[in-house]
Amino acid sequence: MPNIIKLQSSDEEIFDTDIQIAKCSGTIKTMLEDCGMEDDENAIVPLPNVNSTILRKVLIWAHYHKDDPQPTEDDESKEKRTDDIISWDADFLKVDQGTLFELILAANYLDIKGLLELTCKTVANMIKGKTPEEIRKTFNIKKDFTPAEEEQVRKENEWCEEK
Amino acid sequence: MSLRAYNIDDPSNDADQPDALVDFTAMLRQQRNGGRQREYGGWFGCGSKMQPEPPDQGYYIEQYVLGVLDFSSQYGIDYSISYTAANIIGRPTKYPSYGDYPETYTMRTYGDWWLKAPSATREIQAQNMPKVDTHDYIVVYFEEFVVPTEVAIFETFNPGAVVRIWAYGMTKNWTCLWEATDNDVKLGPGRESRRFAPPIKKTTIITKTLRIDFNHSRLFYYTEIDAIMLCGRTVSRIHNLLGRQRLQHRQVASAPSTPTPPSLPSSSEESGDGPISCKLRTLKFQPNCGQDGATKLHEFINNDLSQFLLENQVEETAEAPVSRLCLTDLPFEILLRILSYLDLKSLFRVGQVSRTFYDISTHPLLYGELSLKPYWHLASSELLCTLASRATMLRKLDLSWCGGMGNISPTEFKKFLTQRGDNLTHLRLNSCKFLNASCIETVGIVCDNLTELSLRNCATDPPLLNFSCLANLKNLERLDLFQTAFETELLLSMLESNRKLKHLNLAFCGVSVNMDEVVEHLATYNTQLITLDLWKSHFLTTRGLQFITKLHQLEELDLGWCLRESSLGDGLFKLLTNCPKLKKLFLSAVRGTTERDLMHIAALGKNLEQLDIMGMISLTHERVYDILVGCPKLQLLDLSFCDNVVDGEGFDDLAEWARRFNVDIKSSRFHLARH
Repeated sequence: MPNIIKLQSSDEEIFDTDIQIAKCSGTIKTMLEDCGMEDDENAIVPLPNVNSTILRKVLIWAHYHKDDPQPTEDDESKEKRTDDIISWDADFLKVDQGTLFELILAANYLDIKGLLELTCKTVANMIKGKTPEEIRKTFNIKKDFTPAEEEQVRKENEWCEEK
Repeated sequence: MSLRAYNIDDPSNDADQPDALVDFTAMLRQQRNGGRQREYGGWFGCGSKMQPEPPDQGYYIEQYVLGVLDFSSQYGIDYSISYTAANIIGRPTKYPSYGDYPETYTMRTYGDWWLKAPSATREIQAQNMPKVDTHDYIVVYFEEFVVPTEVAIFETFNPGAVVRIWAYGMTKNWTCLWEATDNDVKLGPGRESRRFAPPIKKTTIITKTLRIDFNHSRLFYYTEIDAIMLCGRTVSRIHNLLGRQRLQHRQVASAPSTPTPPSLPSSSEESGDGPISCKLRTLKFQPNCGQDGATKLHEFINNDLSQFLLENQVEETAEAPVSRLCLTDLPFEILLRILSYLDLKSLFRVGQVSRTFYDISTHPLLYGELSLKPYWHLASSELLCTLASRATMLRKLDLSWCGGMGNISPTEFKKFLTQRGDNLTHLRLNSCKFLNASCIETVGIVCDNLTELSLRNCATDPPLLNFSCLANLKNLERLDLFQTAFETELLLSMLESNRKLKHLNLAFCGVSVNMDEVVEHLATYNTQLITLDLWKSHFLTTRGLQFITKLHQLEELDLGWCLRESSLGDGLFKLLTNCPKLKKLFLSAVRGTTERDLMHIAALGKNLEQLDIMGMISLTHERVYDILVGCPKLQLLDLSFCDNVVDGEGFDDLAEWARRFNVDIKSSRFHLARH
């Protein structure tokens, strides 16, 4: 069994990757197992939804976290707290919003639970504690409520206005 | 909050209130507005307009607690005088002495031992929890309404648990006067008594009711509170009424503008709601200008305005995203996942951003768990009504601490339950003051899928839990009636119909319940029981103890103060033999515990992690050593009032053993930490 496999990004760059690291991606793991590619040294795993910039970042993250315990499937028991991000991850995600969102899409497509959770928590932290206007500004979102809708939402939100 | 609101709209000269808040927003607005120049000038000359201290101004007073309105837990029992919440009433009786005094207010727990015990529960909707969590609270009232200037808490034993101070104003709102930061909590607790008076928020609220929040996680042992002092300026009757009017006035005046100040571009130019005003308002730039308003304004305009404008400018241009991909480009299920990490407040706010976000933020999947406990001060009937329309897939609900001042009506609660209660598996209603017998009846009828019901600290007089009101429940695995009164008949029938019960808490459950009958039922119907808390319940006999020994799955048993017979027979031996999984065993003040029993603990307590044998006067060093050797998993050993071992030379031995066996040895006189 080879220790290295080849991952191909959407812009056709090839990444020689340690198979154990690549397998943190549920998608790649399934592909390797289902297609019997694990024993084929020259097999190339195409990843048409991830470009080379993002794939490089994903692999850096996966390398750093290669010894993490496998995240449990049990969603119920998962803590929803977002103040548990380790500083390496926080530094790793000091990127522009576009890159952050692409990482989310990549983590989702590649089925990397830890990275998906981390990136989503990071976005959640960018929303937390902000006023609606601040959120619009941060993410460049247009307000599109009709006056009546806006009034209704404002009413529903009265309880959480700072007094 | 705008001075203009009550100065101009109400020309009856309200501005001579010495504590009038000056709103620089309004001032700048008026300054720009030429037509108002004269008025502004008049206002600006506030020195002449504001009279020095009107005669009915009120005076500064210091007052101590008059009565206790509510508390989440106490160490003592209601009809006792030791360690109860009522001890917080009046002047300090012990301060500045330091030590363990029954004349003070003490809570049920300390440290994080209860979180490590098998009965520990997980917070519902944990993302709502503040950084520094509240474990316990007490609500107290004083004689006179004041504008608070200082709150002092007299801590006479293991100080350092106070994390928040709240005041209940005449406008029926709670205001947080002070909040501990992360760093405050990281500091080690003190070993001296202290008069804790943190700098409180400058405020104009008028209050005579305070709530103190406690976090025990860093305590080595129980904290004890001797008294609370509330200082401030009194308000005379006339002032009082004026104040109330003004507050209402202010609320009306500020309501439309506060939520999203800059969100109305069309009207902003007319009203002068420019970026500076908005920024000022978000900063709550409202200095108190009672004395030297003019000077302060001059200072601000001369020194700080340019800097302020500069900062504001930066804020304006920063963070304009130039990314290829936008948040809104992410697929629905990912946005849903992101929002699932938000606390309830942020979730509501994000719903105010746009239609798309409103739709996602109100998705039922985000409301499978709801906890309003961290928002106890904001929870209302209206909020319940809104949540009822969103939480169509609700499974876990925590309304603990909510509705204390009548802001949740029993009717609205019942309506909510009727709509959303049928799928509930977890329901926590601890210290819910709005609950009446009819609410509990609704729980019993609607929520027949409950596996957990927690009714800690609910009304005891008249008892809320009548016979048959919860008879419908068949799937309970956890029932928590800590400090709540109930009829024996009800509990017995519940035990009989909930055969899967794993956790039962009956601590402080009142004098009318016969514990021997209860445990006999447990031994018959609930042999899956894992944890049982009978702390200070009345009373268990050796006959009852024999029934408990039939609960072979027990991992946690608290018999503190409830087993008062002078001889236990072979009860403890049988317990240890039959229940090898025991991790936590509390025998505080169980007088019948003998030296032989301790030998059994040492021989059989292989899995014990927490052991409390407080009050065993005849305990010897040999037995302590045996236990430390025989119970390798032991982490906590409470030897308070074991006078024989904690006095004199024995102390050094214990200190050495605490280190060697890696066990926290507790005593009300000293603490021997493992490290």
